[in-house]
Amino acid sequence: MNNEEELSDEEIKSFRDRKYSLNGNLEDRIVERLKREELIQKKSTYSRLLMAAAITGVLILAFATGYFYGQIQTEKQHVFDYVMLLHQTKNFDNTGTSDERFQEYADWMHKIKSSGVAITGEKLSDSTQLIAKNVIVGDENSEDNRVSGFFMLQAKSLSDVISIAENSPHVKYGGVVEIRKIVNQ
Amino acid sequence: MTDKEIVDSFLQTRSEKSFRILYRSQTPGLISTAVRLCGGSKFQAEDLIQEMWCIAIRKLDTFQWRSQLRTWLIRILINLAKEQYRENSKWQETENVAVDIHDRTSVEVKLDLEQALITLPLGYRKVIILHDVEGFKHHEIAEMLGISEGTSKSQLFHARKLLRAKLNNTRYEQ
Repeated sequence: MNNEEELSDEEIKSFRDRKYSLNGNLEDRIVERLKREELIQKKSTYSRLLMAAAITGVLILAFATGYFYGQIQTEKQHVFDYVMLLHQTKNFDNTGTSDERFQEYADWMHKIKSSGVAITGEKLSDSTQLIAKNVIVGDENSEDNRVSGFFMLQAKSLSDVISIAENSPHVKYGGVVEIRKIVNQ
Repeated sequence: MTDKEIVDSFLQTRSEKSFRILYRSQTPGLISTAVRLCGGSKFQAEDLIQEMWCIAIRKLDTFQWRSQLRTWLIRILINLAKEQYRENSKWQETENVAVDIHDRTSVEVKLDLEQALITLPLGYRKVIILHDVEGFKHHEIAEMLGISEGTSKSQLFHARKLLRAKLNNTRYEQ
């Protein structure tokens, strides 16, 4: 020991090497107290993530359900702007089977729809009933000019509809597409 | 992870997991200090450490890293020990507090030194713990205890004298 009463290296080492141990559950008790005082989260990160994922999943499901429901509702309530009447004359190319031709028109319509244009359509039967006041004209099945089907679609302008019609199978096979704007009341 | 990374991680999430990481990174090195500040009482040291963490977690977002995290935590421990000392009369320094028998070792010097240390007056005890045991410099001790460097040196001088007197079973008067 020196004049300054300093602790010797051995004494200092003995202090620093001395290890105390406390109650094994001190850590848990402190955690519980911090939770009670809301100084740490009560739920574990995992359970919070799980809850967040569950809530997100429910929201996505709700959105998807609402979205698809809305889509269905939209299609049902859709207001179309134009009609395309498909005229066939005697020059119309009728090669191929009816099913093949129908499928081609259907595929074309679905392609238009997938581009974001609301469109629907139907093939019309070959027989026609013409009704006039006090006159029953009867069946009309002229090959000179008959309407074989129609499409209804939503478009911002006539030029858009013309562009669609020009690329339709009906024009390709020599038919005439009559475009009429629907007057929405 | 560094202490700052551990603290930042805790402050971001305040999760139990991140607290436990923080707790385990600091507490083992503080236990001996807490026990000595409490005059050898492990029971009181546990209370001290619990209170320390409650205060530390409340104030952790204001810690500015001007010192090490451990230094800041020890400062909290010392302030708590001072408060407990003022409130609890059984902390009179003249009483000898028996060291837990399970801590006895075969090294006689160690036991005598430890017992002598924990029976020192709190003011002397703090300075010897901080300087000789923990290795802090006088300017750091002065800042932690709110005293001047001169007072820190003086306290240490007298603390060592008294410690030696206790070891030698002699009287020491300032």
